[in-house]
Amino acid sequence: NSTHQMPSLPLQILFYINGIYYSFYFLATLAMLVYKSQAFSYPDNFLAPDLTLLLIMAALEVLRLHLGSKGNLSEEEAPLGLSLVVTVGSVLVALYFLVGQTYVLRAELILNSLLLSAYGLEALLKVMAIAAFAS
Amino acid sequence: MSGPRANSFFLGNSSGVNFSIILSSIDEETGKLQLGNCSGSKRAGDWNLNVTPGMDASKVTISLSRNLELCLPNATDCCPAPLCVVQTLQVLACHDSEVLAHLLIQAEIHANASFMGNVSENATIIPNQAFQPLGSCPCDLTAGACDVRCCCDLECTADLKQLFNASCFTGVFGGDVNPPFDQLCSSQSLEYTPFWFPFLCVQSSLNNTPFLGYFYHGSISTPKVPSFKIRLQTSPGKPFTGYRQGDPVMTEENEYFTIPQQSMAGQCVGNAPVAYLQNFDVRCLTDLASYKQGLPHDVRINSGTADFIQQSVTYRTITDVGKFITGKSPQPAEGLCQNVTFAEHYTFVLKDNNIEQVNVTVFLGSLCDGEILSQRFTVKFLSLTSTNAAELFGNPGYQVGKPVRAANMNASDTFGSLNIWQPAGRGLCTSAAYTPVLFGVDSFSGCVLEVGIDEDCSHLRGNVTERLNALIQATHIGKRGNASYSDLSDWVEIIRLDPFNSDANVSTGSLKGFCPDIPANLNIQIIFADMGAVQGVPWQEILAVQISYSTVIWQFQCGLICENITSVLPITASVQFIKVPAQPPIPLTRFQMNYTGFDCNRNDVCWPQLLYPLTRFYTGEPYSHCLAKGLSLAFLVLLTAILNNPWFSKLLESSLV
Repeated sequence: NSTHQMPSLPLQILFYINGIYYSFYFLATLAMLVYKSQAFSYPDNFLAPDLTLLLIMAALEVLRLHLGSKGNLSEEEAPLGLSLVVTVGSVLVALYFLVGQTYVLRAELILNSLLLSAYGLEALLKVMAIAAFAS
Repeated sequence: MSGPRANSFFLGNSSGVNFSIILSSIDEETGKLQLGNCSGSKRAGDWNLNVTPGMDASKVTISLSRNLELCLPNATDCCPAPLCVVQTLQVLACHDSEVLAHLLIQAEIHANASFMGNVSENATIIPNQAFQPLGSCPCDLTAGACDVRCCCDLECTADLKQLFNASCFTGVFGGDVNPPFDQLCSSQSLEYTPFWFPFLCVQSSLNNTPFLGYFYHGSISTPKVPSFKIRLQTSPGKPFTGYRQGDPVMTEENEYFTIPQQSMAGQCVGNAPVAYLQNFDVRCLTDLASYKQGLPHDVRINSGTADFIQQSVTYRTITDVGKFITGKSPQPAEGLCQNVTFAEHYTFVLKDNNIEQVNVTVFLGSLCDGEILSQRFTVKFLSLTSTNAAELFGNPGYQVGKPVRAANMNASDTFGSLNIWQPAGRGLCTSAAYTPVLFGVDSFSGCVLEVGIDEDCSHLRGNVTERLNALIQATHIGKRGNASYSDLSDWVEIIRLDPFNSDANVSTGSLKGFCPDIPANLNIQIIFADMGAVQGVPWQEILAVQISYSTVIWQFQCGLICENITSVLPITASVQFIKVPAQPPIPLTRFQMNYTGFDCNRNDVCWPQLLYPLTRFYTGEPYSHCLAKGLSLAFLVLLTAILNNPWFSKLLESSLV
């Protein structure tokens, strides 16, 4: 039976691109956070949650990509499902960076919307892969 | 016109003219106004008409006589609505039932917008300034009422706002407390925007602005009231172990021994302490009204070893009153006169850092009302071992304030002097006295020479030069304070730059009252240096002395007509002390000159600041900030190293599988 189901190639490509894009996203967001902390004034330590969330997002991303890639390649639903759950968390954090920050720069707008679209596409492909593997 | 009163003028002769006011009504159907006839009176409804007749014009005043306070509806004698009065009036000027002129007035009067009502006890909630600007409407000054021209005031109703809509306050005062800042994407800033501006402009809403952060987040602290009640410490604070030069002389009650002296500003202070080994001679002006008696002479003085010495006072009367008293008394000597001290001369006899004896000579005299007294106070410190003024033991150099030693090697007794003028009275050179040049004291003094109009120029030059040379009765100046006359190496020769003699050029008979090149200013420049220090007190020596002359052009100052009176020529002498380093500065090594990367003072960046989280050379940011940044950087590096380790990925695999 395993000859009928193959790992989803688009999903794997997307994981790979996502990994590269996320490293760029992390460095860029960190740099822009540093720029904002110098150029603008933050009330009452509002900068600390932004920085913490970015680090948490990095950790979540690593976990998510690893689980998803593993699940896809070994054609198991459990890691893929777990990865989907973590994707929800990542989407929430990305939404925060898109609209919930104290100051949102236009570059951050672009980066976050790209990330969100990548998440959306990935989620779709994961669901399809889970459906394919489960059946 | 604004308000319940309006003025107008009726031009022309107003004799026989009847003025009347009527309330007009507008025809509802046609909308036309009915012109009135001459049957009105000077009162119509709430309106009164007043006419002040004049020559060619009469002043016509219409006034409303009702209450314009805003009150509840259905109340009487006040305004039920904000728009109180809307009426049309006509003022008619009639002569024999014929209308000469008529004035149409349309009145729309609003109620007086003053506050009437209960004062609320609720405190206004002040929003957190970190998130909302405090005072979103700065022009809303009255609570409960509409502020005119304030468009952000919430108490203004829409139709009220319509009245002043065109002239609202602009800017922050008018309610624009959140102006768009430059980094906003939607701001139309005309200033230079960098090339990365389209990417790094702020896209978020205007609710979060950097301006909100500009408030003081501090805590309240009670100010400390300065306690001037602390009594002034009169004791010097240390146990008494003898006097050193400059220490204040103390009395038995551990207070300062005071003698009137001259302060830095020039006037006399009464309560000035006396410094040990510091001689002085001051003159203080006073008159009968402001005369103050000094310290009583029975006060005992601390000798330096906690022994107390009584002052031995001799009283004398003044014989030559003229030297002390200036100013004439308007009334004869039967006026109010008092016996006052004219002069006090103190002599402190010293022995081994202690005061052995205090001899005081007090000169008394009578001072009358209207006279100005010039009191004189002198203090001299004498050592028992020598009759001259005592020197600081061990330090051979000059002390500031001591006279410069001068010697005249050409004279028989080798005694010389270097003086400058001390003028008195009118400041004339003929009556001026000399005072010795004191070490370290830059001085400038002079006197006034009276010159007639037909003065011979060369004679004048000779006179001035002779007077200036009289100040310098020396050829050599002592290097140290203890220079002895027998040793020539203790003395340095005075370098004289004599004035340029221009007798040959100028023909003296041509111009009367005009003399060029008069050497009227004498400059004495004394160069000294620090030779070291003895017991912490610097030892200074004189290295060179130069005397030069500066020339002036003298011209006779005529009044309206050139009378044959004397003009003045001021001649001056200035002393300047110039300090030079005795040793040249340590030369910079070639390394220090070339490799300026090590010089943190001259460069913005320098090598010692490279390891700045670890070393504290860099002072551009607070140390806590750079420590935090360094630690987070180190943490990230560590994290990368751990995550890249293959051992870690194996751990992850085993934990998830």
